[in-house]
Amino acid sequence: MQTNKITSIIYYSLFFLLGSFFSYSFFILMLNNNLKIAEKISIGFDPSNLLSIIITLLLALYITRKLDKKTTENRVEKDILIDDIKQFKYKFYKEIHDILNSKKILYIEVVAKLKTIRMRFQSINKILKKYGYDMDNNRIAKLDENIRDIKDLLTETPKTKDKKQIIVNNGELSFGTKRREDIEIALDDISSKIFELIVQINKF
Amino acid sequence: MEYINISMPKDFSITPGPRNRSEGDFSGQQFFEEILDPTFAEALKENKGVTINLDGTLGYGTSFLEEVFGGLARKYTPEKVFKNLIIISNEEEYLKNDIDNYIKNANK
Repeated sequence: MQTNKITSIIYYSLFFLLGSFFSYSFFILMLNNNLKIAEKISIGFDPSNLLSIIITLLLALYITRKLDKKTTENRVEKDILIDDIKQFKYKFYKEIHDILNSKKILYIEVVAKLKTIRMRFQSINKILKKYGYDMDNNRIAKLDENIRDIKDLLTETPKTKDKKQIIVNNGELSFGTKRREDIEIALDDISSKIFELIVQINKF
Repeated sequence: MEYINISMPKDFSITPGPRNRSEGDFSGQQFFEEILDPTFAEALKENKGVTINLDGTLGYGTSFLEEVFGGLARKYTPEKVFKNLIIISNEEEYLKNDIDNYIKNANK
């Protein structure tokens, strides 16, 4: 709301300055060309002048309102999108921490949670692309890669039994300390990328 | 080209599991040995391709996908797999890209 008031003030000031500029220019032009105002000024009512003033005023009001409306619509669109991303981030972090806080959890349960997370991000991704928010640095694609990395860290067991950082036994999954740390680091990385994405949307 | 169709939920399970049989039920190893490998071999023999529909399950772990598709590329070469295999994944479109990477990097 504050931004809208500022925008309106800017527009009104701009129109005022433009008006002043043209009046001043006209005055200077008159002086330089030795133009003189008739000694006897006739005071009369000219309907065409009045109509011109009214149309100019109405146009100024219309343009200002139209631009204000557009600005408001863009802000609402951004707010909804940002809110969506924040909700995604909250659910994503909650799910991953729930997984990490369980001593043992079913492998298929983890996989199902990750499917929901990635599908949710996929739909956000589509909206961001549809409205053209992914202009700089391909941030969304990078974020998508990071989310896939988390999936790998949570569900990729080694081909050999050498490494014990992720173990699946009877369909139950458990993680070693190193793997947990790697997941936390990956989560931090995602958090900063989401922050950058929100900043980018706000600047757009 | 004619195709032999495999549906993951109908022909295998709605809950695909981990990588190896020793880790749990419906593993990638089980799917590869019992379904994909024999079907792919038969398809090659008859100059056919194979389609796998991945929709309709609870999801796929990285291990499962790597074991199945990386395993297929290790056995038949990535080129043959790309030529004769079609992945259908409308629910999780990104899986096609993931699987392409498992096939390309199968021998790394």
